[in-house]
Amino acid sequence: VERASRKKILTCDPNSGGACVDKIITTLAHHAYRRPVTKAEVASLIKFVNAAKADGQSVEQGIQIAIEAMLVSPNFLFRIEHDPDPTDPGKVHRISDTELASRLSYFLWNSMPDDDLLATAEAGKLRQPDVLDQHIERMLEDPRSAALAENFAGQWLEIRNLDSIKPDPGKFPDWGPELREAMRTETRMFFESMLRENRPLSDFLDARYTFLNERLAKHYGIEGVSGPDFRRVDLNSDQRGGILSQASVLTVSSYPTRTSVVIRGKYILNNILGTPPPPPPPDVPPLDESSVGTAATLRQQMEKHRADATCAACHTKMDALGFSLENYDGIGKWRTLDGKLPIDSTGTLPTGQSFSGPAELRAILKADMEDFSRCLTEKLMTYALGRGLERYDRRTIDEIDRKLAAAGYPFQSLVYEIVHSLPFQSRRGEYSTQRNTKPKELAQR
Amino acid sequence: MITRKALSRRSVLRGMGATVALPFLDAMNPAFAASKKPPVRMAFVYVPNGMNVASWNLNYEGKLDKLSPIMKPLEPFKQDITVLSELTHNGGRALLDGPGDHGRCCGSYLTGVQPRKTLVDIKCGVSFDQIVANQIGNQTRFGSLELGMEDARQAGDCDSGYSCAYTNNLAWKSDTQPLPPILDPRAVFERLFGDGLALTPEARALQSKYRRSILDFVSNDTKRLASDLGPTDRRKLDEYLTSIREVERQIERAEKDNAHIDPHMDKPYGIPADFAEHFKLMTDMMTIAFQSDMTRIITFLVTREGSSRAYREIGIPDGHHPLTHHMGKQELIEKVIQINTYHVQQFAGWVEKLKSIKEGDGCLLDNCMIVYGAGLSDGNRHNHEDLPTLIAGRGGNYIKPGRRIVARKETPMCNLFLTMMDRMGVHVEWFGDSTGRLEGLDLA
Repeated sequence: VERASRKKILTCDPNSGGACVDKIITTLAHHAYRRPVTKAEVASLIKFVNAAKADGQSVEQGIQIAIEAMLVSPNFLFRIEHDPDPTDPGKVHRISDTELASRLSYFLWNSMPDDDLLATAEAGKLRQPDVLDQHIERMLEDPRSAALAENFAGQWLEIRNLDSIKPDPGKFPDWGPELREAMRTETRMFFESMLRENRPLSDFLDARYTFLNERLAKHYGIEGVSGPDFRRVDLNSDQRGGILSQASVLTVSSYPTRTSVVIRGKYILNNILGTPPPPPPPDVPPLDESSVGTAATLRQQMEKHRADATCAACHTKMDALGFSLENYDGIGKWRTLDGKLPIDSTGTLPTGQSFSGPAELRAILKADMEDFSRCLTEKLMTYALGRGLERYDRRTIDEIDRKLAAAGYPFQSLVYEIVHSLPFQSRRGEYSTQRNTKPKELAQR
Repeated sequence: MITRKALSRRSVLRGMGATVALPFLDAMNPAFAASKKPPVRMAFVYVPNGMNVASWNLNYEGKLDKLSPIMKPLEPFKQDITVLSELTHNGGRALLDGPGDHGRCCGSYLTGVQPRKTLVDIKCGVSFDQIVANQIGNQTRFGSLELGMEDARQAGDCDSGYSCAYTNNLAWKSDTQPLPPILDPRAVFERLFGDGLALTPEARALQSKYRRSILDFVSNDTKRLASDLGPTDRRKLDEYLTSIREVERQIERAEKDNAHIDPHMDKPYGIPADFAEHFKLMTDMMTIAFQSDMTRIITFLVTREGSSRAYREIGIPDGHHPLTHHMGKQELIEKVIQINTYHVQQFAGWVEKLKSIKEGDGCLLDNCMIVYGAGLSDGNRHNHEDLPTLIAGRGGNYIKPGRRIVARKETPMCNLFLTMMDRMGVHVEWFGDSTGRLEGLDLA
């Protein structure tokens, strides 16, 4: 039986002669390098086929070696973007159309451009605004855009850590591979639905639906969901809603044996509000909460900690946010007691807003979308560009957020705006410390 | 088994019609026959989060007598180990850089420098194992091996503003390029012994021929690309090119050796869930790599610095790092001691293995310097002086083990590295913050 992959590679009979081999190699290299290939490049690959033939190997074996070579070539392994002025940070230039096609496909699909996208780029049409938008729309609809949920959401929400986290089975007998996979699936499907249905960003903070199977529904105490398949479920109680109530997020922000208000508070500051706390100042020992056994002493200890002015600066906010999620245990199960003591999930933010429990925190977060929108824009932008954001990107971010706010924060608009933005469409030379130490005469020699 | 004239294990087995594993025969190990002095090898076995020093330290100097509770598993090998005290890494200290002792202590451990506090533009130093590898690595198939056991990301904040690159790597090829440890025993196996396919010599020769021409092709492609790239991109390509050359060298070396090394173990399936099993698989392969002289330098990051791994294997569900901040609670201190001892117990298993293998007039262990140590002293206090350190082996009839040597207070750890470099045949004047060589290892 001929494998599909083999059929895809051998589009003609390689034994029929050089023309066919040429065609096969050119097509493959074109895809692998994500740009038109030169005759010289094809020739250097066909050498492998000829060498194999000379050794008495088949043409197919030769093609196999050529493919191996392509796959370790830096042209395949690296996303190359050329700079006319590689060391002049003052010179901004538009990236080429094929480079733009790669940026777009790695952003949305985490993979190489398909024929359609590449052809449009090579025809010089990709930068026509309506054409670009058609491609974004097409690519978002394509199943391959699930990669955005898998990779971006996996990093942003730290869901990838589900693999390495090991809740204590003694404390959490429910924990196991099945539950872990269910947690991962919920967040992935939720993110995908946010994207595909172009839902408002505020749904991330509080949505009236989620995706559950029987295992996870049981974990959440939600009835009427049976079987291993995931489905969309409307949420009727205010115990759940949005990512901060999803078990995946609550598990990766806990210790193996218990919850941590500090980790969860920091998680919200980092990933939702985009205001990461600075590291603790020198000479302050890291907060020791490892011996805390019960919520009451935990709270007492945190209060004591906050009596110190230097600690209070960050912990007042961080801990308060963390306490709002105390109704979820270390693997995200709803609870009203920690051991024998009742959960106290009240808190007051430095703004003076006070809340009791996760639902009220969600309402506070949702009421002020600016911070969250900015945070998500920055994270998605960083992901799309594959580089950290710089001061000069700030104006773009402000502009995108303004537009988003005016439109009511539809998720897909964020994607479109990023693709159309200056940083996505261009690059600049890099500031090099060597530049000034090397006189021109020397460099030219 | 690695030199041309060696009698291959496979042919021995074929001749005997054996299908079961046999112990190595000395006759198959002619590379270091009596006439030829076996090479010295060195390895670092790094454990995270310091130790419970009260249960690690000995209260006497000189000849080893009663071992401390944590060292207890090494009792049978008392005559093969040297306990070192008062070695310090100043680069691990804050020195005005604020918190982040876990990040710093691992970054400075083999480099001797204080790493830059950053999440983005990481900067550390070339680690001394890599300085040795650059000098003598061409004598073996692999200049060095970097192994580890805990899955960990390589980016992001792992300690108060220190990049995970610092806590998750021991070896640094350049000041910006850490060498991430291989974690999966299967990947180590494939790296060392190939894909495990039994190829005919002709097929193998053809395979290396093609591989080499692929590497030529790649290095041409890479050079061509570098012309209009910025410094960072160019550095990335440089690093790629360097790694290609390294592979090229390995192929060359393998051809010259003209021998296929039979590891005599089944290819592992992947990462075992059980800590001890994982540890054993990794050290088994390290043993073979040393024994067959595939490399002379190994760094082994048992778990990453700051690790919060739970040790359910010994009934400890709490994370290692949170436990070390025990606030004086005896119950938690006990658990830290248990984890420290458990690690030493696994290490003792490796020492036993190295000792069981004959080499020349003695055993493989005699020609090794296996440093076992932590980058922090007391895990609770985060201090960087008197780091828990011991060496197993004699470094080729140099070290006189069976003793505890107490150096002067604040003796740089880098002094030990200089002495080790001497033993490895690499002589440099200074390294990191060294103030001289660590004397006394060779005194009986």
